[in-house]
Amino acid sequence: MKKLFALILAAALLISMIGCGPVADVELEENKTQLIVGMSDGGIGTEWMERLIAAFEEKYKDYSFEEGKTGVQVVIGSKNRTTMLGETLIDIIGTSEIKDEVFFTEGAYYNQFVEKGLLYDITEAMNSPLTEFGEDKSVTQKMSKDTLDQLTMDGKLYAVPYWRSGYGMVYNATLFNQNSWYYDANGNFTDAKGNLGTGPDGKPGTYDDGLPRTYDEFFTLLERIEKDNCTPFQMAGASGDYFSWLIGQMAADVMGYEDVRLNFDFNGTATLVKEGTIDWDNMTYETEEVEITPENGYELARQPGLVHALSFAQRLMQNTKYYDPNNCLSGSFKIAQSQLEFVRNPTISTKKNVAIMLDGVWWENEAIASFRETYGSNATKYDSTMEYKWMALPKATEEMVGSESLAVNVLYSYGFIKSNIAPEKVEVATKFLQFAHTDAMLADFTETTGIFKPFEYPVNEEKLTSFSKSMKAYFDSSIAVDALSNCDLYRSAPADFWVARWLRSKYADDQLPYEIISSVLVEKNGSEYRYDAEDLYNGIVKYRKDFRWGQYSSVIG
Amino acid sequence: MKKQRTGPRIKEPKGAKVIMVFLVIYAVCLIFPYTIAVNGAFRDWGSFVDNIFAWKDFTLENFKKIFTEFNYPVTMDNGMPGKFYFVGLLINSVLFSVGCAFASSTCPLIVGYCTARFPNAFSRFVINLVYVLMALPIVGTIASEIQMTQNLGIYNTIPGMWFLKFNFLGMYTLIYHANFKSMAKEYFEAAYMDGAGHFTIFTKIMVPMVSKTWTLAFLLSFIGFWSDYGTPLYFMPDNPTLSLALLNFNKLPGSIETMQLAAALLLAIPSLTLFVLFRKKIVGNIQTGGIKG
Amino acid sequence: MRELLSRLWEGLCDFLYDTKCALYHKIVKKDPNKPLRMETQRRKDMVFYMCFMAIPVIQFCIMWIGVNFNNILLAFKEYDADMNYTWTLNNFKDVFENLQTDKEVQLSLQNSVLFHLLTTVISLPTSLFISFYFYKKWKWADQLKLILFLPAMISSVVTVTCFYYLADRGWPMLIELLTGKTDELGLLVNNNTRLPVLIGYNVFYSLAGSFLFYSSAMSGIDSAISEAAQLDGANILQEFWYITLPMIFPLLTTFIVGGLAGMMIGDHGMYAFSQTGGNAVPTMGYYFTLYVTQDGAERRYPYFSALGLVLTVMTCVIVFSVRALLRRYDPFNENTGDRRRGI
Repeated sequence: MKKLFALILAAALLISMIGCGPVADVELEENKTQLIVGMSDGGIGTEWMERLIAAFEEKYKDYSFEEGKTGVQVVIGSKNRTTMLGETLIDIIGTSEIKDEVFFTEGAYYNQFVEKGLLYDITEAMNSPLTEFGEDKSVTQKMSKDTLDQLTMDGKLYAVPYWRSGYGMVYNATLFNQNSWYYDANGNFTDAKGNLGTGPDGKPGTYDDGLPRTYDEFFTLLERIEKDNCTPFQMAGASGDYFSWLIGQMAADVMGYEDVRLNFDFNGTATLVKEGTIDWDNMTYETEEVEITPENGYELARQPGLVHALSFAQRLMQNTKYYDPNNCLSGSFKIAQSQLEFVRNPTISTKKNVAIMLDGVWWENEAIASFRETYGSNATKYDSTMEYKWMALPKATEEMVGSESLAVNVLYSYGFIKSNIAPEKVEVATKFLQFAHTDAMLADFTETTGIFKPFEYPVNEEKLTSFSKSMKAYFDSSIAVDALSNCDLYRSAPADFWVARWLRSKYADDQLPYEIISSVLVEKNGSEYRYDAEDLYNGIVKYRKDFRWGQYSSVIG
Repeated sequence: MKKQRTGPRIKEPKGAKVIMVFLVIYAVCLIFPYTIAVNGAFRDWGSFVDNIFAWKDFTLENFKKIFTEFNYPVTMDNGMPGKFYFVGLLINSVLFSVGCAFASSTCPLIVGYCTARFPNAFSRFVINLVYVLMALPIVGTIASEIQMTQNLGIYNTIPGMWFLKFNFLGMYTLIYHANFKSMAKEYFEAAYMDGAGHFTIFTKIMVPMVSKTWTLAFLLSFIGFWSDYGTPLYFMPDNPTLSLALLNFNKLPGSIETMQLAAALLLAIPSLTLFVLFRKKIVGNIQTGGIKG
Repeated sequence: MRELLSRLWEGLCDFLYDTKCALYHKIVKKDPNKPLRMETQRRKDMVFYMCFMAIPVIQFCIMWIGVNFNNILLAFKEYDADMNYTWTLNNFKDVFENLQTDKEVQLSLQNSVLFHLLTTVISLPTSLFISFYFYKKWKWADQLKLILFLPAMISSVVTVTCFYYLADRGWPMLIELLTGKTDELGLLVNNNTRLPVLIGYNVFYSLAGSFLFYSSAMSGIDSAISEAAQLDGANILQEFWYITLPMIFPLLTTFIVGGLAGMMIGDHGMYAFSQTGGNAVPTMGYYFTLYVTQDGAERRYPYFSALGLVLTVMTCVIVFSVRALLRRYDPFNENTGDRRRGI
């Protein structure tokens, strides 16, 4: 016994003497200028960044950014850590804890970073033509005017958009075709070769042809899929907040651009539902025009979009035929598993095929493990025998078919340089940010990740999967709304505004902060549902007015 | 040596059979969940997701991946990114558990000995303090503790955790104190006469007399610290142990279940091995004399 | 000159030594008439004592006195964005407000009490029966003891992971197998079963450790007493009720009071459940762990310290009341109150 303990202690001592801490991701090359890039890789991966770094290092291999040093070494800093998410980063970016200098991050409330003086002024660098890289345009000339206006604060630009985000539904187009789940022009089911209906955009010959045009058609489709012994809808219970973002997106489609913008700008006339006029069974209500200012911004909770979107949520969640509750509501069912079932099930005979999956625009990139599990250890998304597409969201009513589709950019993702960067690093940092926005690098980003950036740049479509192509078509045909505003109220608490955010704050009496609408809607008291769409709507209207708005008094005045 | 009986064995009454059946069912139910971990760790991911109970599609792939893909990202001292891989985590776990177990089982021994051997006012104060503070239910000092370790510079360091666990506020101090107090003074005095110093008496005579208790305390605390994710979570987030890394890995949205289970199995192996090797000592010692030596 | 310095040095040494002796005498309260200069052995005693006690005492001063003192100070601080602090009572205001309005705090508190009470009420008698079985060394006692102790040896992360697979995936599969019903909800998915199942999990796995201590206490009972009872014709239940239970009652009260003291500290496995993926319910321990370990939580430390202090006071009131009650109303012996000091 004594010997054993002596042995254990000796071994522990020996190990501590040898030392075996963390392994550095890269070895520093002292003779080069170092630039550290912080990024939250989420589902987007790091491959694009590695390719960007390789190209940048190659371009400047003989250039001297600092005296006595030649070339540059770019290191990916704190990736894959919650610290890189804007909500956390804002508190620590100025501290010595954060060594990163250039950032590509999500969840960052731009104006708050600027107001705290945390971001470096990149106006000049972004306005200068990229002649050094063989282009005539500047980075800002590739951006939309709206985005540029909203990002410009006191005439200065401190960040550029990172990528176009979005949550939505992905469908297995191969299964849709095989099982004739498309709608034809007469509202009957057909395969892809049939006379497809116009889809929600009401236009023939577009990417959404044959898809359900209205909520009713959508639920009829789910019934049909269920009858064909497939799982109609799937999401990961562990990431239930995706559902809130989907509902927000559906609400936006009902509201239209002007009314959606009111949620950020609080300045204009909103079409609101008259109190006490909603017939929830027939989904009818009376509307009124109300002038919205920051003082009465809580009234926006009465926007018709929320009514329709909540009714959609209730119809979906309170019918367990449409989804497997043990997947969609279980915290143990994670994104990886959801993607595995979506990708793998059609290749095996024992499990039900999943027709539609709730995920983000990045899903194909993130599902690499699922493709490998299904198609072999070296497989990628290009090896899939199934074709996946982004689903245009159905409209709330027949009358709304053909109305504009909105893509609300909700991930608050930006690229920027921190303000306390060492002076000798400014040049390399700005050049890196410029280089990342050259046409070649923007195209490389999209071709590598399948994700788009909100800039104008050419993309070789041959390198895109069917899914990416359909997503491009979706973005091209939608109006982008950025969660940015010059309104002081919005800037004071950007995390509080927009439908998806309301659904993540309090709206039901015994709801916990981390409980999201998908789980609240299925809560039961015995065999009865505890809440329906009406309860949640009333809860949101009440909560926004009675509890929330008082907290903004210092801003509203 | 004849096995010492600790309780009277009488003829089993009828009720005993019922309790036995209950206990057997309970034991089976207790063990059954772990078979999922054992099964899943050796299964193909897709096959496991299809049916967690099936006994097929076995593979060692999960264990291979543990060594390459299972990691815990940290920021290194120079601010650069780095990762703890399985071996690094394992070493941290060994250092953390052995050190903390040694500290937490040795401090009570020292204090118990000193207070019994030198029954001065301070010693009496210390022993009374242990009694009082053990009964005082203090809640929610964790924020203050974290701040204190940060101020002391022991945050994120393994030796810092050894210091943290080198405390005497616990049952063991009282047990050692009672044990040493009950020992005849002649032991010390005879040793003095033979010219032995205090340190020699302590290590050569006294410690061996309570080695059984110490070993048990060490084993139990080692197993406890090996599984403990709380201490590393609070105080060593950038210097993780295997247990914390497993918790972190499990919560990643992209983590693969069979890899989680393989890692869980690897985490459980050392505790189980120690338990199997020293089962009689662990169960027997607690059973026969409480936790007395 | 050299001689002078040498004398000075000697004088200084003597002074220090005398001071040390005086202090020593003050501490050990020895006869003050005894000469101050101690014999060599005493000096050695003192050196050994001080050397060995130094680190534990320093550790205690820092990690108990320091931590608790800092905790109290922290509760009255308010940090700004740059971590500069001002003194305030706002944290306590927030705590009392949250205790009345914040559903999460209320539920955490409620669940902590519920988990504790039910776990105690169910597992205490069950543990006692199991312990009695082992104490009597009935069939397979040794083997069962080993198996039942096993979960206490395995990390809760592992146990929790295995358990939620079984509850969320295994249960619906089992129901489908037995009844053909395909839409059975997982036990943790179903909000009607979640809380009872999680309490059940705690009861189920909390039995494992405690029975060894009870059977250890039972083994301390003089076998002559139980043999005498058997000769008097007492059956096994009577023996358990009239002999065994009263004899180990002091240990039971220790366990009950000790358990109460930890009521608000334990998270009952909920943190591991929630972090590894299972649907959990909040408890106080979970609440603290979840929010204190979040990135950027440093500025909210004062709130947690204030909450901790308020909960400490609440727990103290409960613990000391129960303790007093148990001492006063010992069901097995009316006069044990004075005898069982230190329980």
